Parts: sequence; structure tokens; C-alpha cells
Amino acid sequence: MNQTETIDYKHGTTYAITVTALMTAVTCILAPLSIPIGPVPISLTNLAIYISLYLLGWKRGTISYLIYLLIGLVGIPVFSGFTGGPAKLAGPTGGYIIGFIAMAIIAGLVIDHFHQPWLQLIGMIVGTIICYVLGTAWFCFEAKSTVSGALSICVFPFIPGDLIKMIIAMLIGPAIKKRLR
Amino acid sequence: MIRDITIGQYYPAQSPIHKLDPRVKLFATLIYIIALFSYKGIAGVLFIVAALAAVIKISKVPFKFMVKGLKSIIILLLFTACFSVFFTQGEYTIWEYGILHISDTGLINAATMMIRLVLLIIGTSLMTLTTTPNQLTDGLEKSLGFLNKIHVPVHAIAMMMSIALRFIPILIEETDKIMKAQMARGADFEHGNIIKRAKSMVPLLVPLFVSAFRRADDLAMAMEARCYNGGEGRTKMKPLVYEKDDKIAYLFIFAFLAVVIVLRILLPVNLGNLIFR
Repeated sequence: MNQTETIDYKHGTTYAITVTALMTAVTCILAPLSIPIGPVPISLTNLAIYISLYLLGWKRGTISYLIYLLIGLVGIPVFSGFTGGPAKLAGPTGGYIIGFIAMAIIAGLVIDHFHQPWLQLIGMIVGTIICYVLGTAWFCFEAKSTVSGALSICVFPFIPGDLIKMIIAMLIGPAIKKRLR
Repeated sequence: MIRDITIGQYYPAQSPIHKLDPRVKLFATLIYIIALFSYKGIAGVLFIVAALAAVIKISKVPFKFMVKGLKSIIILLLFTACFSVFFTQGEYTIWEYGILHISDTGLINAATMMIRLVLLIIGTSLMTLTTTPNQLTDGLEKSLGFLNKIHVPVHAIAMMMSIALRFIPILIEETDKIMKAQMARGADFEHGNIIKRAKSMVPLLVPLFVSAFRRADDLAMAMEARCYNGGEGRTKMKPLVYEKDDKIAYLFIFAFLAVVIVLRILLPVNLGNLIFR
């Protein structure tokens, strides 16, 4: 197979399907894991999402996350803490899981259109803030909680870990991408 | 470690629930969730509990499998309930200390939230315990088929789900191998502060992603060599077909929702109202 065919081949539909599926599988493996440092476990979910966005682009990266959501929906234990099922999505913290979709779209668009690392970092931060807003809104509704209560339980403890994950993704995303060419 | 993850939570048994078409169970779960957010008052709760108990009985899945899902949520449940009890203003304050106080509204909110969440987890785990992931993927593809009309590539989505499901155990094994190989070269994944932990993730993540991409490349080539060119014109090895039991189940599902709505209209009395009035 010559170089031209290889290049054309990589843009085919079948390759798009398989590469998105494999990235979904990687997300399914990394997302349930967490690093037990301190009282708040640091989940690898959004790290996997960020790296998918770097490698696949915003469209396929977001689709990859949606497939992961569907897999969790049908009961495979791929959500944080090795849980799964519709209850996770319909439960009080489901808003954050859904909010990751918005995060993926926003961060993905910024990562695709800007090559400066610090701009990509800002894109990820903005996306994460949107995710916090959606998750907190749903938590308040579902758990009949106040905004400050929801933030205290679900947002503030996770901010340092999330920032570190963004920096890691910012550093190794381009490195992996370079290695794949 | 990572290897301990079990793919799916399916509990094998011979029961009418297991044999139902997966589309029925997907729809039933959706209606159940809607009912949990629609009921009002104690009569609604009691009816939902009774219906759930009946279905669990029929399914032959041991109850302890049902409650296993509650473990992961227990801490969040207690946190949220405490917040609700101690920080919610209400008509009647039972106890007070500084900014902390217990009111009727706080207690009612906490109880309602806990009941709904427990019923949500137990009820929805029924679907995952009585249906295999591949059946559910088929069911989802059929159920979402109407989205084809608005150009959503439903077949591609189902295909991606199937491929991902198939590759999860393969990539788990790969992750395990990579970890062992890196540990043999001196990497430490379990000690050190947060920065050191973060650094140790890199030699694991980079080869994992690279490996996934190469597998995707090989798989795409193999699929095309087998004449795969998308969803058009494909047949299915095990097509889903509705049978009589499935239709009967649909009747029960609609009857269930109707009763919940009627009870909401006729008997919206909350237990808390009776106690605190």
C-alpha cells in the first residue's frame, strides 16, 4: 500500500468507527479508576476525555464520550468507582456525567482551533466550569439541596484534582498525538 | 486490581423477566424513572414499592444483588441527607443550635430524596441484572432507530458500542501488561505525593493510547477486507422479535404509569403533612 492510499484510508468511515470505539474502550478502562490521595478520590474520567479530544478532534472525541455513556447506561460498571446502570445517570450526580458532554464539546473546539497550550488549558477550564454548572443544577433539583451545599459536596473538593488533570492532558495529549503520526 | 473488573452485571437465571425482549426492559426502565419523579405522597411510594417487589420476585434474582448497588451511593446519600436536615428552613423548627436547625421541611426533603434514590438504584439494576450487554446494545439500536430519520447514524453508534464492549477486556489485559512491564523497569504506581503519582501515569497512558490506535487501524482494515461498508444492506444474525409475553409486559408498563398518575391526583397526601399538622 503506497503513502497516498494510507492517507486516504485513514479518513474512511470504517476507520472513524473503529478508532472512536477503541477510544471509548480506553475511556471505559480509565474512567472507573481513581487515585486515592486525600479524602477526595481523583477520578480519571475527565483526563481520558481530554486526551480523547486531543487525539480524535472534538467531534469524534465527544461521540466517544457519548458511546461511553451508553455503555454505562446499559449497566457495564464503567462509571467512577466501578458503578454503572441508569440509576447513576438519573441519580443526584448524573448532572456531572451529562455535563461532561458540554465540557467535551467546548474544550474540544478550543483544542482543535488553537495550538497554544495555555489557550487549550483555558478551553478545558471553561468547559469544566460549564460541567460544574450543569451538575450542580441537577444536584440541587434531585437532592433538594442548596447551591452552596451542592458546591461544597460536589465541586470545591474536586477543583485541585481537575486542574492537575488538565495540565497532564495538556502535556501528554500532544506528545501522544505526535507519536501516532 | 484492574483485572477484577467484571464485564456486565448479568445474573443468569430462567425467568419470564430474563426472556423479555430487551426493548421492553429498556422502555420499562424509562417509565420507572419517570414514575419515580412523578409520584407524590405516600400512596404513590407504596404502590411503586409493591410493583417493584413483584417484579423482583418474578425475576428470581436474589435481593442481595439488588442492594449491592447501594454501597457506592451510601456516603453521598448520608452527606446530602445531613445537609438537607440541618440547613433547610421550614414551618416548624424542631431543634436549633446556631445556624443548624431541624425543621419539618428538612426532614421531609431528606426522607423523600433517600427513598427515591434507593428505589432508583434497586429498580434500574433489575434491567442490568436480567439482560446481557449485547442484548441491550441490540435493544438500543432498535429503540433509537427512529433517529435515523434525523440523520443520526444509529447503526454506527451500535457498532461502536459493540466494538468497545469487545475490546474492554482486551485493553484491560493490555493495561495490566504495561503496568507490569513498567514496574519491572522501576516504575512505582502506588507511592509518592500527587505530583509523583501524576508523573507515574504517563508511562502507562501513552503506550495504552498508542496501542488502542494501532488496534483500531488493524481492525478497520480487517473489517473492510470482509466487505463492511456501513449499515446499509446489512442483515443481523439474531434479529429481535416481539412475542406475546412482550406485548403483555407493555400493557403492565402502561398500567403501572397510569396508576402512579392517578394516585398523584387523588391521593397526594404526604406522611410528613400528617405528622406535623
